[in-house]
Amino acid sequence: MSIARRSSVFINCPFDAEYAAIHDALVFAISASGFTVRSGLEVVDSGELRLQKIVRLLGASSFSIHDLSRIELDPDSALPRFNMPLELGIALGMKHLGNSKVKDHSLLILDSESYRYIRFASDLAGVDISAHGNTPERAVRVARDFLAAHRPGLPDGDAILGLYEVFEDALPVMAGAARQSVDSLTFIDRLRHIQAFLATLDPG
Amino acid sequence: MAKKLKFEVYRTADGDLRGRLYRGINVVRFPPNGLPKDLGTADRALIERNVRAALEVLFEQPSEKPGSKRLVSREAKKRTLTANVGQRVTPTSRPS
Repeated sequence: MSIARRSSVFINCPFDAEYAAIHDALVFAISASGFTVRSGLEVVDSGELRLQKIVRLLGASSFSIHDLSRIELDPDSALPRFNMPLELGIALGMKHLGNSKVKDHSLLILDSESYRYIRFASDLAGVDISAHGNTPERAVRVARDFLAAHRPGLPDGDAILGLYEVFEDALPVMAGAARQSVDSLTFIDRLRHIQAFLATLDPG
Repeated sequence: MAKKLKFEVYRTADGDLRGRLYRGINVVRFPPNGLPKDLGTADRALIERNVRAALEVLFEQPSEKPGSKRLVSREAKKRTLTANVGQRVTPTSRPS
């Protein structure tokens, strides 16, 4: 499948249940903004190494969104979760050291609080990081504003959030008609429901 | 005060259901983002049928406001996202 790089947005976010509300809202906001979401969850291929997959998807995306809000100590191991900073580092390396095809990459860094990152990644000082306050609403608005800078004329955050509410209302019916339950939807299942829903909007 | 958003489900002249988001009297236009082109015919048909089923439900949703058949108030969801949304217009028919 060939997806246009200039309309692809790679999301580097946690996949745990606690983060699901923000993740799902971001996926919807990116889709409703006319972009294609790229995620490590989109490919299930045991033959491809995870890091290779992430590098490939990042290289195939003009944009990426990195959420550092879950860099917390694991209660069992007492070690921080560092996959998100690792993938952010790959994106920054691609942007600054990559060839001319990928150096135009634009990225958005999210965290729960504006300056929390100073305490765990002080080298990012001076980089604009947006806070979402651990709320889906704020995450949607920040992501929308980031994408709107590259695609003029996008509906505002209120409109995207409003449409998201309707989608959330419709999702159980869509899933049920496909003999799926909302709780068991995979990333791809959910993305297809989002795309199908958006495809029914009045084209104007 | 920000204008309220309303989602409308209407039936086109050829019987298709479509959705529209209004802000006040203006339709909010979203960028086109259709189904992936690589979907097989069977997948595409199934997905389109599912979303049509959902729109049917939204379209047929009975009014919760006495005296109004058009405005449907929405109960608070587990993920309340914005206070300005919450009314859905469901006209019985609408020209394409």
